[in-house]
Amino acid sequence: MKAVYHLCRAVLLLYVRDPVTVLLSLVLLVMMMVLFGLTTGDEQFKIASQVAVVDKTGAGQDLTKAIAGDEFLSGHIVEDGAAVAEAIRTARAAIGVVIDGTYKPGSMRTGPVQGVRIIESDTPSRWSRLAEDRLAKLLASRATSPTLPVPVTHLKINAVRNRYIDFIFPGVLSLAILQTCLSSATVLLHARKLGVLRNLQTTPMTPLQLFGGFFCGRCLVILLHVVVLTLVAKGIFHVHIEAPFGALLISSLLGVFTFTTMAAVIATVSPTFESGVLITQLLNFPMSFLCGVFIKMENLPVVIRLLADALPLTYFVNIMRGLITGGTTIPKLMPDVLMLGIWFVASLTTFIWISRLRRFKTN
Amino acid sequence: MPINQATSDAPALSVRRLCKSYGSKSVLRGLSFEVRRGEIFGLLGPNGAGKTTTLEIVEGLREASSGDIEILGLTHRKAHKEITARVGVSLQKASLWGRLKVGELVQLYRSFYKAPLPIDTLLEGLDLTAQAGMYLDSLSGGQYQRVVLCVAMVNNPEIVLLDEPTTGLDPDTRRMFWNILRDLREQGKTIILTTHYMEEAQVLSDRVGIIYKGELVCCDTPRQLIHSLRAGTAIVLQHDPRLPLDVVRAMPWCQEARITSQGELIVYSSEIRSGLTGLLELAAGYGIPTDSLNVREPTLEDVFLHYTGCSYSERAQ
Repeated sequence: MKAVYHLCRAVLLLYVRDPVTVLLSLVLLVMMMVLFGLTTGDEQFKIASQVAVVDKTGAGQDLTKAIAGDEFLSGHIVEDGAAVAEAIRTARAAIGVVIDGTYKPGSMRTGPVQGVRIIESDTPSRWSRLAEDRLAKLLASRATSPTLPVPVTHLKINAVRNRYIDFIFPGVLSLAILQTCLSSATVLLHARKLGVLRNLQTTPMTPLQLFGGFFCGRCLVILLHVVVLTLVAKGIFHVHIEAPFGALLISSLLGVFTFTTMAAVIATVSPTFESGVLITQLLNFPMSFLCGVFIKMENLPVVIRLLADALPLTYFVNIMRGLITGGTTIPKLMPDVLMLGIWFVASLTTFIWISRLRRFKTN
Repeated sequence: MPINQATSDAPALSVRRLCKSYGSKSVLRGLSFEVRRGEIFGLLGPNGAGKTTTLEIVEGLREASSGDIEILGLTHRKAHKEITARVGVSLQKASLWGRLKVGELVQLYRSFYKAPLPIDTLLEGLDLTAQAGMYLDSLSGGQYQRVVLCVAMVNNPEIVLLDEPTTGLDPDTRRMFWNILRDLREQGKTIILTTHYMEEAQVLSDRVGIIYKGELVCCDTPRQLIHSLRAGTAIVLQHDPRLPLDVVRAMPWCQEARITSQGELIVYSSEIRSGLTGLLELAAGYGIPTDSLNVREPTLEDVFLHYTGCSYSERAQ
C-alpha cells in the first residue's frame, strides 16, 4: 500500500506541476462552462412555459381557453394533481394549477371554486415566474370572479432545471472525466518513452501495484477536476445536484473504469507517444461534440445520432445527466448503464488480449 | 539486508550459454561468464554488441531464448521478487520523472522495498543532500547520474547493475563517479557495469569481459588481458598506402602490425629502441612523413583489436 500511495502521490504531483496540462485540461473546461453559462445559461430552453390544469370542475376548460389566448402561456389539461407534479418535476411544464371544486364540467358559473393550488418548481426560472404572474391575472380577472376570494395555495416541488447551464453541467463533468481518463494514455506513453516504466519494472513493485498507483493518481486528478467544475457550477450558476452521492459515485466509477481501460488499450497499441496523442484526440474530438454534451441529442441529424449511439460517452452523459438534474435513479437508467458496461468489458478484454500479444512479441 | 544462507556462497552472477534472438537475428550467442562477489565487473563492447541485452536479461526485463542465469544463486523464474529486492539497477539512458524533486523520487523508490536505507543516509552517501529539494529537471548531468545511482541504492543492494552509467558525462564528473563506485566496492557491493569507454573499463574494473557480436571474446583482469597479448610497446603512425603491411610485419623488430579503420598503423614491438628506429627508417625509405608518430603501452584497445581484428573506437561509433 505504501508503494501505491507514493506512486499515486507522484502522479498527482506530476499533474499539478505541469501548468500547461492543468491549463488545457481543467481551465479550458471551466472556461467553457462559464462562457456558455454566462451567455446562454439561463435562457436556452424555453420549454417550460406550459400550464398544466386538472379539470375537476370544468373551470379548467375555461382556464385552458384563457391560457390559449395568452401570448406567453400555453396549457393543457391533465389527469390529476400527481400528473401536474410530474410535469413540473420533469420540466414539461413551468407551472401547474389544480382547481378544486364540486361543479360539473362545462362552466365556471355553475358553482363556487373551492380552492386553487399552484404548483411550481422550488427553484423557479424566469419562465415559470412569468407564467405565474400571467396565471394570477387570469384567475383574478376571469375564472374565479363569481366566488372570490378562494384560497390559493402554492406548492413548491423539486423539479428538473431547465436552464442551459443545468443541461451542460453534467455533460461537461462527463467530458472532464472522459478527457482525464483518456489522457492517462499519454501519461503512460510519456512514462514509457522516458523509460520510467522500465525503471519501475526493475523494482519489486508488482504490475498490480504499478497500475493501482497510476490509477489512483489519475482518479485524484479526476476528483480535482470534478470538484473544481462542481464548485464553479454551484458557486456561479447555482446548479442544483439531485443525485444521491452513492449513485453518482458508482456511475462515475463505471465511467472512470471504462475510459481508463480504453486509455490502457491506447497506451498498449500505440507504438510511440506521438501516435498515442493522435489516437486519443481521434477519440476525444468526436465524442466531445456528438454525445450530447452541449447539444440535445434530439436536435442532431439521424445519422449523427446513430454515430453517437455507438460512442460510450453518450451513455455516460445520459447517466450523469439523469442523476444530476433529472433526479432519476440508476435502475431507470439501466439501458445506459448496460451499454457503458459493455464498453468496459470490451475494452478490458481488448487490453488483456493485446497485452499478452505484446508481451509475447517483446520477449 | 540479510543474505539468504542458501545463496551466500554462490557467485554474484553466473551466466551460462546465454542466447537471445529476435526472429532470425541472433543478438547473443552462447555467452558464458561469472561475476564474483565484491568485484567491479566491466562488460565492454561497442554499440550493438549485446551488452545491454545481456544486462536486461540479468535484470529480468527480457527473457533469454536459451541459457541460464543465476543471480546470487537465484533465478528470475523462481525468485524474481527476491532478486529485485537484492539487486539495484540503473538502466541505460535512465530517465526519471523530471518534475519530481530529488527527495520525493528517492522516497518513492524507497516505498517499493521492505527495508530501504534511510533517506538521509542515501542522500549524504551520494552527496545529494543539498539537491534534495531540487527538481530533477534542474540538475546537472553529474548530479542527475548520482540520483540515478541513489535510486539504484535505496534497497542497499548486494549487486548493482549499471548500464553505461557515465555516458555523456564530462571527464571530471566521470572520474568522480568512478570514485563513488570504488567506495561502493569497498562496502562489499558487487558492481556490474557496461561501458563502451575502454579507459573506464581498464581503470575501474577488477575484471573485464569483452563482448563482440553477441559473443564473449575474452574475460579477465585488464592487466592479464593486456599481458596475454604478449605485445610490446605500441608504436602508432598515420598509415600511408605506400607502405605495405606485409613489409612491416616481415621486420625482425615487429611482433604484430595492424591498420585500424581510422587509418592508423599500429606496430607492436618488444624492443622499443630497435622498433622505433626500424619503423622510422622504413618510413623514410618509402618517403612517408612521421610527424604523427607516438608511442604508448598496450591497452584494452589493443586487446579488442587483437580479438576482433578491428579497431574498437571505430566499432563504438
